[in-house]
Amino acid sequence: MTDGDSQLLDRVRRGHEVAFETLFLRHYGSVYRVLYGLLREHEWAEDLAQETFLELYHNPPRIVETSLLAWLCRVALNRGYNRLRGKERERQRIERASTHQFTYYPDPSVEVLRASEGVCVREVLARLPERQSKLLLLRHAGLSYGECAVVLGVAPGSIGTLLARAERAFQKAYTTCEQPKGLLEGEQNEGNCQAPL
Amino acid sequence: MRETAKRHYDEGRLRAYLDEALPQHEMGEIAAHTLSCEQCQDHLNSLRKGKAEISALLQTPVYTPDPQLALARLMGQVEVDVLQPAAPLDGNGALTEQVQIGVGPSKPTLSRSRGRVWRGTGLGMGLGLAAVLMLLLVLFSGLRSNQAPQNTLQVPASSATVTIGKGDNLPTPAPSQEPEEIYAAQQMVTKMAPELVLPDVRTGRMVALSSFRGKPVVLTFWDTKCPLCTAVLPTLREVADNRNAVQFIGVTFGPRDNADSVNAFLSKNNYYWLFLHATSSSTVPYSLLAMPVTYIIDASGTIRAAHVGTFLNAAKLQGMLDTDMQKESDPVAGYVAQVMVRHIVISDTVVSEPLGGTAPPTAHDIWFANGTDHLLMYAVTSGPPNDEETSGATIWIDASGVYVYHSAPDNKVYSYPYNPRYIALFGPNPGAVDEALKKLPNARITEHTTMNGRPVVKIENVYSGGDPRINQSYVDRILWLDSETGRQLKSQYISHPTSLGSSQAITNTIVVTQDELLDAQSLPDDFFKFNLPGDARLVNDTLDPMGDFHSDWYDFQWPDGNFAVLMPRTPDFSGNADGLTTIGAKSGGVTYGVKYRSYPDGVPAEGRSKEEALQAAYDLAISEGKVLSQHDITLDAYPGREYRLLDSSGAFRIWRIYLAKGRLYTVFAKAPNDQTDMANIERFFNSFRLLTP
Repeated sequence: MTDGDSQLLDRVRRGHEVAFETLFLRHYGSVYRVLYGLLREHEWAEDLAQETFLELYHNPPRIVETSLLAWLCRVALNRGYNRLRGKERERQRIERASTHQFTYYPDPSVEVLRASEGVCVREVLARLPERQSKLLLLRHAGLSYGECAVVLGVAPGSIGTLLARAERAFQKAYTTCEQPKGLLEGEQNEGNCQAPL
Repeated sequence: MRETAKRHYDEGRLRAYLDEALPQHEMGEIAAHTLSCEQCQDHLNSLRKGKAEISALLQTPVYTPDPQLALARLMGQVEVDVLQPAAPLDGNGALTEQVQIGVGPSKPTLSRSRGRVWRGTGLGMGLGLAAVLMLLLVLFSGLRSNQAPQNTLQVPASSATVTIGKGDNLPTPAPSQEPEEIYAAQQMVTKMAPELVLPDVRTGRMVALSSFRGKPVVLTFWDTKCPLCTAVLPTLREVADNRNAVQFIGVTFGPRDNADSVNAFLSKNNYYWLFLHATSSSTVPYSLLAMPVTYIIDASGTIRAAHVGTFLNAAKLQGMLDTDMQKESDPVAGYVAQVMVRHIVISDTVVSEPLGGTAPPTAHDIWFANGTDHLLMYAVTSGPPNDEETSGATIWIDASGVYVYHSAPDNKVYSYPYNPRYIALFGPNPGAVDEALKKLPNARITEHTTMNGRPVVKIENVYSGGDPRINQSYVDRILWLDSETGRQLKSQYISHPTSLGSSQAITNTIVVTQDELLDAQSLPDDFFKFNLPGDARLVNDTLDPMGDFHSDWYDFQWPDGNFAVLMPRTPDFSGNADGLTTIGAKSGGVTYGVKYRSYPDGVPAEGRSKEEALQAAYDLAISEGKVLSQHDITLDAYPGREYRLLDSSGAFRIWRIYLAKGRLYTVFAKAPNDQTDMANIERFFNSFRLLTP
């Protein structure tokens, strides 16, 4: 953890709002990007970024870690995955309760209504082993190898190897994900992904 | 790992090399090695290609929310819905929400010698705005005497003409340094608490806030769906446990909550004090740009303190109760927040150039409106009898005299792509532009221009640092400010042009809030004159006639001239992929859109006839979730069907699918849930029409 973060965190523990605000402004962008990478929805990402910083305010970490950003990203990702799992459970529940058959049509004029590239990305990430998807999100949101290692609880020297594997797994899963095109914001539906993992 | 001539670097090391995450000497070694090792070079290229592909897919959003704004929202979650249309138009084009008017203390002080003073000619030098309100009430009291509240204000009959004057001792409000929602809430401090008459969520009994006069009140606006709101309740309980003399009141809103959901939440958490429930946040005359917001009201009904956000600990609340009660109140200003709109038609009044003109307001057709969070001036009148378009219409003109909109007697609402927020309503505020510049780290004025006839400065902020992937500076934010008032007329956030995907500017619209009223003090002495003719008649009272304008609904015509539809704003997404064209916009949490694919007559597309495509679209709708209703419809005699359904995420969707004029149209809306106010959604669907014969 940087000296600045450490001192500010200490003040946050003692209820200093200015210190909290400083940390918020310093790290909000990274936390938001990680969450957006996972969820692909601005509103979700903003909601969960808020919740993450609320957690920092109300329950600042007691143990000094090597990176506050790593702690924030871990909290954010846990919340993000919980949100995705909750959504998936809800989808399954409705699917079971519905008397209608969910049928996918091969015709492009129908398929274009169904999903978007972003949905496929989200679903592939959700189906990858969590460590791999987390690493992809963290790294592509700009976290350093050291920060990624802290979040994942692995040695910094192993990040390169893990990253290469994760990228390969992502590519493989993504190529098998059907990608309907042309769907726009607000009309996104569940993708028809068949990630093999 | 050191390399020998016959060995190769492992992929982890090569991957780290790509990210320059290795010590300098190792970077050099690998660079040298790959020059001579074809296998490692191929491996490196493969990793580089994979990294690039995934980077493209995982690219960060085209914009990241402004951290300052996000922080302000965290301190008090912004309730965007508050800003959406509050009072929908009824079938006659009139705004239908009825409200009580003139509630307040029975004997207000009209002339004051300090602070902000509103004075008028009837009572010496300039009568205050409160007196204007009183005048309105007097003028129309006979027209609605059966609805007059108990505390109707009285003014001398001689005050038939009043002017809101500038006044010699009026202070110029300092530009706000606070986030808008906090500033707006703070502006209510020292004013009379607007009346609330709402049902108790537990008993359904109607409760008036004024019935608690004589004891301090802690009034908190919140909802169960907002974690920041629920986080403040334990603090309230902690203080409530020790403050028997203080009345604690919580207020929730529909459609986010209903009495049952609130009750369940309260029982589960043992929040025992009084909780009221309003059908909509827009019907509550408090500044609710942010939630939770807590107002401390003293025994006389004056707001003594306001706190926006969840960071309200027990000590702070105790302090507010103990010390803020000593602040002085401004009983006259207290009435400002209680003014409700009078919807008036003045017969035989001719507006010379209403359509898009900028004619200054005439003395008799200016009225003012105060909604829950908006305060704007407007005029209501009728057009000349011989004008086919405006005869008998209700015409709305904003405070600067610019035509906004009119509703004609044929019950159709005509609106235009015009945003009243872009008008600088109020007078000069020297130094405001400089203050705005100070708030941005690398901002400078790049252009002096005009907008809607107003002098405007364009300010560009240059991004520098923060994201390690962005090495060059670029303009990340543009503001257009009114030169004289400092009002922000438009803003754009701009994504990085190369590293973060396609460049895209996000344009924000501007919200006019209640603090505008205070700015109005700096207007010229004779800017607003109220001289009502004798033939004025009251049509009805409405809460916020500008609500609809705030959302900028306008008639959007697709460039090819084939169809038109009322949209809540300029479409903020559009695209064309594989022959499918889509446009749409989001407003108030609801997505509105139209998409179509061409099926020229007799020409099958994608291997199927247009009838088969129509059926496939129907089948798709059914597959999208739990269908609530479906029925056949027509559009100019063309066949179609409407589906209403709840999708897997709980979102409420409506699709109207038509096969018309060689196109398969899907007109769609997506709302957060099936409790969403349908007025705008219905208006959207009903406005869709084909244009070509």
